[in-house]
This record gives sequence, structure tokens and C-alpha cells, in this order.
Amino acid sequence: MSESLDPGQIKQIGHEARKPLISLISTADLLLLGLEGELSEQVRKDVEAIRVNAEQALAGIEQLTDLLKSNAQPKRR
Amino acid sequence: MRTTMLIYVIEDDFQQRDYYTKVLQAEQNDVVAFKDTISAHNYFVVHPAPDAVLIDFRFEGGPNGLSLARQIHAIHPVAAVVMTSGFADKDDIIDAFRDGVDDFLLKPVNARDLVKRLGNAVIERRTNHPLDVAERRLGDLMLNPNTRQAWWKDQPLDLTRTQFTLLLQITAQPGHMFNYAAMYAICMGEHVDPSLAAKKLKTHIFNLRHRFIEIDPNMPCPVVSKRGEGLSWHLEEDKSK
Repeated sequence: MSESLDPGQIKQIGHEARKPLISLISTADLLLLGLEGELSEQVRKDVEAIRVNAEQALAGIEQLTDLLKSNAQPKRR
Repeated sequence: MRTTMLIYVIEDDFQQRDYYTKVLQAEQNDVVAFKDTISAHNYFVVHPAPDAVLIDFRFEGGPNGLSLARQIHAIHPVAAVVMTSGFADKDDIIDAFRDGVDDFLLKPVNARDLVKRLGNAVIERRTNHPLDVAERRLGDLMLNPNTRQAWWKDQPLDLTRTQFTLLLQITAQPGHMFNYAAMYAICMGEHVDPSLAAKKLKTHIFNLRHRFIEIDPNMPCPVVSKRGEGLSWHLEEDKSK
């Protein structure tokens, strides 16, 4: 099968993949800002680790969707 | 002393909505949050203008953020609209600015940026759209969405809330035919089929048209109602031009 994704599908997949990570980062920020109450030092470190990893995953998705987009575009001609 | 702003947040993702709300409230702002564009719109048409609206670009089902942004500016021209998106491309951002959005933030949005850019958008909007511009003028018609007052040929139009909402909507896009179901949803916050909507709006439209005819019986009424189609604002060209 030589089917490839069109730009619209790539955009949709990118959106779906980013959404939970963005929520994760926002929730981590809420905790780190102290808006959900005081955090112990250990919990703060754990939340920071979650945030860093979520950001890395987000950057990975960004790269992947860019790659898919650059491969998909020539086929649109 | 900090100035408290009234900010509407429209975001379908619960976590994001919660995040924006708490960050903005922590800065002493009043926040009203909505999970979809329809409930937000129904709220806007019957409440005073907010200082700013933070709205997501995409919504699952229902109108997207951009169409709501256009409607917000039609109703409340002084409200700053800041759009957010988790996955917007250049074209989406260009479209948003072209449609009058004041700023565009890519998610994840950090708290400091959120507060700062919303504040800047409010200042910029107020500079470019002073409060008296909130009044909409279309030929001999003047509407003030904040006080919900209307004048036609310098005479006050004594309108009910529903009549005013209908007029505000149709004058946002002169010449455009707004279907009855959409108008009914905007006025009453309830979706019914077009024929029932037309039936339920009939008296409101009749009375709205009558207000105009009372003031100038010789001029064709600019509120045009077409059976089976909808309602529009259509002003005859000024022949003296």
C-alpha cells in the first residue's frame, strides 16, 4: 500500500497528539505556580520532571509532523 | 492599584479552561468560562461587553473560534479578542489577524505571557476603538450594544431585548440573510427547526419592523423578512449620492 497522509490529515493527527501534552503542561504550570496549593519540595521536583518530559514529547511531535508535511507536499501537485 | 478586567474564556478542553481561569483570577481579574462557542455567544448577546475574550481556535462540533470572534466584535467592538491554538499553521494565524483578532497565542501558553499579552491586547483595542465607537452606525440607524438602545433617523426605537438582539445581529452583516433557526438560537439560546423558529420569531419580527415603519412610513423598512429564508438588513441606496 502506497497511501500517504494528506496535509489535512497530518494537521489533524498533530492536533490530536499535541492536545493531551498541552493539557499536561498547563496542569503542571498550575501546580508549579502554587495556584492549587503549596507543593512539597519532592512533589515540585516530580511535577517539573513531568513538565520537562511533556515539553520534549511536544517538540518530538512537532518534528514528526514537519517531516510528514514535507514528504506529503510534493504529492499534492 | 490593579485594574480588574472582565475576561471571557472559551475553551473546550477542561484542563486548559481551568488553567486560564485560575491564572487570570490570580491576577485579580473576573473570569467567566465557557466550554463551547454556542453557549458563549448566547451569553454575549445579553451581557455587557467584556474587556477581553480568550478563545480557542478550534472546537469539536459547532462554530469555530474565528466565527465567534467575528460575532463578538460585531456585538462588542471594544472587546479585545485573543485567540489560542495548539496547532495552527501560518494561514490560520493570518486569517485570524485579518478577521480582527487582536493577538494569537500558541499553546502551551505560559502564565506570564498570557497575562501580559491579554493586557496589551486590551490597551491596543481601546486605543484603536474608543468607547464611543461601540455605538454602531449604519446610515440613519444607531445602535449602542452596551446600553441596548437604538435610534432610527434620530428618534429612539423602543425595542425589546429580543428585537434589539435581532437588529444587532442582522446589522453586523448588511445584506446577508440570517436564517430563522440561527436567529432563534441566538435570541433564545435554544435550537429548534427552521419552520418552528420562524413561527416563534414572527411576532418579534413584525413588531421590530413596525417600530421602523412608525418613524418613517414612507421608507421601505430595512428589516427584511423572507418566508422560508430568514431575516436581513437591507437599506435602500441613497439616491442623492
